[in-house]
Amino acid sequence: MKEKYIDVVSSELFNHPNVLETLEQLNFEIVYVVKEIKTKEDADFVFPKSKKYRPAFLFFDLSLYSVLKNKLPKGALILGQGKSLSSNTTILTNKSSIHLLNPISLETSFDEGLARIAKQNKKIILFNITDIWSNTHKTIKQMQFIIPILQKHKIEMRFITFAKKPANLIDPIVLQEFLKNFNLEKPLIKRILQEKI
Amino acid sequence: MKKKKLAVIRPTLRHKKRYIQLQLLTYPGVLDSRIAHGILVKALQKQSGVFSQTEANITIIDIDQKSKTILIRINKEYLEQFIASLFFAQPELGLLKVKDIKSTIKKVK
Repeated sequence: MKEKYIDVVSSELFNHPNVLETLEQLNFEIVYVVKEIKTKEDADFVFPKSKKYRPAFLFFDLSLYSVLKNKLPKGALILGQGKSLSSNTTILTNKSSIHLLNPISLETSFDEGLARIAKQNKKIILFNITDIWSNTHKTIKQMQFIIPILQKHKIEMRFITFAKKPANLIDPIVLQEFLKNFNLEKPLIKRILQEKI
Repeated sequence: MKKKKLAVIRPTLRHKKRYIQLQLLTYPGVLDSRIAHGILVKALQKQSGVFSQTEANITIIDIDQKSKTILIRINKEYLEQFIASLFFAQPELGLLKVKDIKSTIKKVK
């Protein structure tokens, strides 16, 4: 039996033709479709209707989350964009189930202290793996620093494509082998790529 | 003078190979064997270094323009590194899917 995987993609991906077919070919069992929330109206976005596609929202500003909290569908994945030490800290110290997307920024903005807070608040850290294409050296270096800390504190992590076009999706078989570069063991990689968020 | 027949290398001494069938799901143009080979070699070099790339001995056996699939032969020891290196080949070749990996060419065709 073929193994099934998960991925987190942008809602913009569904503007392209034949996307559903492509996702099927790559054996994705569950795909979280992320709508970026920039204004209040963005929360009214209509997600693709299928059990396979789950709604997710990405907040750049957490004050907007407290306003829209009750409007969002139940069980939706809520993400906060990490881009600096302060935004990472705000997301991780938040008690609600808002997870951190991309702790990587211009300078390293993650440490043991944040990892402890993340563990306490049961946060999941999501890495946008396609960032490596645009900024290889910086992204790999920061990931090599952050991943061992997450492993040490047993914090859940995921590696996602956040694809906005089909060419940005990645075959899970390729990703599985690529993640070995970060000294992750095969069973752990498999679990990370297959377990629901 | 009668030509002397070359001695055949014993199977145990030969490099074991793997045959990989790759499908290019979003590549827009016509696939060229030399361009594809160049991209794959460069990607493996980026992933594992020039020595691994040389020893891996990437060979493109066949390209099917209709189904946009490439059949590649590689040394068995470098299979995992090669698959990982496809991550770096993707920006140029588009979405790549590993369709099949087999030990003989007959099985994969």
